[in-house]
Formats: sequence, C-alpha cells, structure tokens
Amino acid sequence: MSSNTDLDNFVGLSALLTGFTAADLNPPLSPAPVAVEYLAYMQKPEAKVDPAILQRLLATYQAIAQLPPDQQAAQVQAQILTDPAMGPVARNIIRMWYLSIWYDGYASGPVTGFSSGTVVSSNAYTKGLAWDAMQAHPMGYSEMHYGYWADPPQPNDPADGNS
Amino acid sequence: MMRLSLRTLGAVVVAALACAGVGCATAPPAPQAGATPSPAATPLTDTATAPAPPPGTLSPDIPHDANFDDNPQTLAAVQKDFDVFSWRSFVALNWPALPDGSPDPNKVIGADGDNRVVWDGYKEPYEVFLPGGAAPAPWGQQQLPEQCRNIGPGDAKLIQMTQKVSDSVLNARGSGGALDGSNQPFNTGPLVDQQNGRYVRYEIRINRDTFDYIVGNTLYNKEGQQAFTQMVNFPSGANTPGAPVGSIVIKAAWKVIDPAQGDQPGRFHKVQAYVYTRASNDPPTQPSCELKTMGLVGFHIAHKTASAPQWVWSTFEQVDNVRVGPNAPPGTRANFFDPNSKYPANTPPPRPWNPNAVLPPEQRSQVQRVIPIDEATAALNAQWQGWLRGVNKDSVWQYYELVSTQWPTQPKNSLTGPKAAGEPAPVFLANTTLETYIQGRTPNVSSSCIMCHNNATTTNSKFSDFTYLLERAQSTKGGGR
Repeated sequence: MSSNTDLDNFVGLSALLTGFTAADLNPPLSPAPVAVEYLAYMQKPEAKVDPAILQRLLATYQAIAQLPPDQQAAQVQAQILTDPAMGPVARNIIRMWYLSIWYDGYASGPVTGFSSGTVVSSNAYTKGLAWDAMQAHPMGYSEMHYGYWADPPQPNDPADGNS
Repeated sequence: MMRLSLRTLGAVVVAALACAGVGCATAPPAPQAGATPSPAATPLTDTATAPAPPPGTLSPDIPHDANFDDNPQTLAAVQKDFDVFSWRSFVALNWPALPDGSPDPNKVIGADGDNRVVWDGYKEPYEVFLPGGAAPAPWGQQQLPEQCRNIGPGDAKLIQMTQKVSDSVLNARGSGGALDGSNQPFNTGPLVDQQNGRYVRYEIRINRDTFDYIVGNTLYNKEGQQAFTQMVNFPSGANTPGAPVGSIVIKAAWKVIDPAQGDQPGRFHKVQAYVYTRASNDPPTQPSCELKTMGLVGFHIAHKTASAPQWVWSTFEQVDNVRVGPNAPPGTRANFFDPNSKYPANTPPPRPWNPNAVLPPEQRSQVQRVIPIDEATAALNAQWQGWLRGVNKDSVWQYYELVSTQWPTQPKNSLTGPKAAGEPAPVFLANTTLETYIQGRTPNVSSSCIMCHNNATTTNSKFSDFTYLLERAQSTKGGGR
C-alpha cells in the first residue's frame, strides 16, 4: 500500500469519524497539512499503535469506501468502531483531530480529560477541530478579529439547521 | 513535539504562546540551529547571452492580480503564479517615472542603470494622518518637516522611520499616547549597517486606490472612523476589464550608501533623501535632518486582489544583505553580516536606541536568514535577474531577489470567522531587513505577513482590512491621538 494511498484512506476514514469533509481535513493547497503530521505520528513507535492494526484499519476503510456513500458511516460503525483492536485506535483518531493530542493508554481503557498525551505539533495545536466546531480558538492563538466575542457565531454548516 | 498531560497543557501553552497578538514585543528568537545564509543565487548571465523575456514581461503595467493557468493547481504551481506576480509588480513599481509619478512609456526599467521610480509618487502615512485629523493634501504634494527645508532639492525623498512601525507611533506611546502595546507589532529593534554603523531607515507608501479609499471615507481621522459603520474593505485589483489596480502598500528599507566605507553603489537602487530624526525623550534625541544617498535593501509589496482578500505579500531584498551576492566585485561585503563579527546573530543592538548614533563595528547587526529562499523561487529570481541584466548590464535592478510571496490558500474563508487568515502559504515569511528579529517558525510569534496584519484595527478597534495604517488617525478635537 503506497503512502499516498495510506494518507487518502486516513483522510477518508477521518472524515467519516469526525463529520468534517476530506477537503476540510486535508485542503489540497495546504502548506502545512496536519493530516500528514497525524498519520506520520501514528506510525512512530511512541504512538504505540501496532502497525498491523493500523494497516488493517486503513484497508478496512478502503473496502468501505467502495460502498455507496450513504452506507459508509454505518459500516465504519459496524466494522471498525465495534472491533476490539481497531475501535480504540479509531476513537483515539477522533480525539486527535478534535484536540490535537494523541492520548496514551487508549487501548487499555477509557481516555479521560486527565489522561496524558502528546500534542502532535505546534501546527496541530492551532488546528484542533474542537475550535472550528465551537467557533473559538486555542489559548494563545487566534485568527479571529478583535471584538469577535461581541458578535453571534456564524453558522458552520447549513445542514446544522442554524444558518 | 511536546509531551505533557492535559492538566499541564494550558500552563505550558500560555507560557509558550503568551504573545497572542503580534503586538507583543517578544524576546528576539535565538538563531535556530538550521539558520543558514541563503543559497547563492545562480550567477547572473551576461547581457550578450541573456535570453530575452517573453514580450510584455518587463512592463510598466502593475498587474491587478496573479494569473492562474495551472492544471492541476498544486501548491508549488500556485506559489509560482504568485511569485511571477511579485516580480511583475516589482518591475512595474520600479519603472522609470515621469515627473507626475506615472510610468514613462518611452523608457525601460534599468536602461539607464538606475531610475526614479513610480512608487516615489505614492503617499506616506505622515502625509495622510495629520495632526488635528486634518484632511490630507491632494495626491502629488509633499510637505517637508521644518528641519529638512532649504537644505536640498525639493523633490528629494523623506525617510524618517527607524523601525517598521512609525517613530511617531512609538513616541506617542512613550509620551502617554492612546496607542497600546498591541498596536506596535514590530518594535523589536533597529537594524544597523555593517559598513557604517548607521541605522537602517524605513518608509511606508500607499498607492492612489488606498489613498482615495481613506480620503473618500474620511478614515484619516478618529471621528471619521467612528462614523464609518461598515467593515473596512479596501478596493481589490482584478483581471477584469475596468477593474482597479487595487490597494497597494509599500514598505521599503534603506541604508546609507558610502563608497568610502566599502559600499558598491552600482548594486543598489539609490535616492537622495532627507534622513529625518524626530525629537525624543527616550533616549534624549535632538531632531535632525541630513541629506544622504540611500540604497534600497528591503522592499515589501502588499496588494489586495480579487484572488486574495487577505492580500498578496511580496518581499524583496538586495542580494548582498546576508551574504555577498553574485557577480560582486572584489572587496564587496555583506550589508548586515560580517563573518568575523562576534556579535550574536539576529540580536538587536544594545539600548539605548538612538537613531543618530553611529555604532562601533562590534555592535553592528549580524543577520542570518533563518528560512532559506526555496529553490523554485531562487530559480525564478535568476531568470528575472537575467532579463533585467539583459536590458543593461549595469542595471541596479538585477541585484534584487524575491524572498517569497505569501498568499491565502483558502481565500474564501470568512473574514469574520475562526479561520480569517485563509491558511497563508508559505506559513512564515520574513525579510531580513524588515522582520530581522522575528524570523522563525513559531506560530503567532515568528513573522507571517497575513497572520500579523489580520490583527490590524482602526482607532476604534474595528478590523481595518490588513493594514495598521488606520490606527495612526488623530482626532479633530485635539489631544493628539
């Protein structure tokens, strides 16, 4: 499996796991693609992800991706999230995307807010999806203009019904 | 990479990123291990062998926007589109000017070696944001400070800033003015010439579209800004018939040229300029004005275009800034780097910072480029330098190089949302003469044109469309700022 295919599968799977689109997660012109950093981190020994499980996860998604789009999310639930080996990895991927942190000990029990983990990079720190979802920003880094707190948040997505 | 528990995350991040706004005066970053001089540019070609550029390439027409004809549109391909836009802009802005400031259609850039340039006719902020909030004089008139009158030609340039932010803004802060720290993004220290120990001077100029927007909306004083209820939105250039060129802001860095001190005048665009120092109490400084020959060492072009609501940010340098550039005669030395100096790299001079001082050699700036110019941009530089040399082997313009062009990869992001900056590429960009001490790769601390200017506001704290100039407006009711 080529690394580009791995990245494509990782981004596609991440889109189904997070609810953001693949283009949101890995913009084609991004000068600092955080998806690349996340996948690379998961492949490092310190992430403690069994390479065989990671490959099985990506291969399983690749097969799911061949199904009609409206069936894919349910199959991720049935084939990946309920799997005792792949499920914890997938849930940790969701946490990583939203919080920029790869949590330790994810395979041995529930991760809590007090679990230790690693902020994958300074770039990742600024790109946690939690901030996009709540239209806020991480401590110490903001692209929002002075006084933004006085205005109501904008709708994120018309599908949310709040546009 | 950081390793920490969630409980300690907040404290660490606050400590690391306490300077959320670029207005914080951060400690200058230590030179990074990877800091290297730029790779030497490809040797410039001789006039006789220089390939001619495609027709119309060397043109007095300022491009309104970049041209995108790539398929597929990759990051590298679009970066090149913007780099070409930068070079076209550089050539057009530095085109020989007629007395009224318009480009001379009968001349070519550098044909006479050096030339007066189009942007000389642009307005400086001190001409726009006047005491008492008065209306600016019409386009095309210059008003000199008293100390500069009757000592030289009336059409000489006036250069007064010793940092990228206006000295008058800094002085206002020191005297209890209303501007606060967040309004002073780069008060990180002056740059000192290796040849003569003098401070580099700066100027900012705005084009007519920018000036007309400010005047037309009375944004030149506080009361006008207060009454302006819309979002500030400067005109954008576009490649459509009848579209304006768009707002342009120039920032230029100048060093005193003195051949007796080892400068090579033929390698600089030069002007006769009044070097004006304002009176100050910190440190005690007398007002002064000297007529000097100044050489261009740094050049920013910020241009708002239809494809880049976050503006396009081009930055050029003279090729000898941090190392001796190509085709240099024997004895040429770098402007801001001495291989024998013991002064720490990328460190401001010791205080007090007196613009009239001439510093001894052991205290002069020792500048290294932290992020090298990338290979594709270096290759493009060699191409354009060759074309400029093809016009005249003695053209000063062949001795400038593009460092890079920063542009938004997500230009359609809402300017009122959480990703207003549009994910700029490259992520960081610094000119060694204009952001000397904030080079690096630390988010929200190291130099990034768009990320910095995304924080710019008017005097009543409203978003000011990526320019800090509007915060210089004064009140019509007196009391200065």
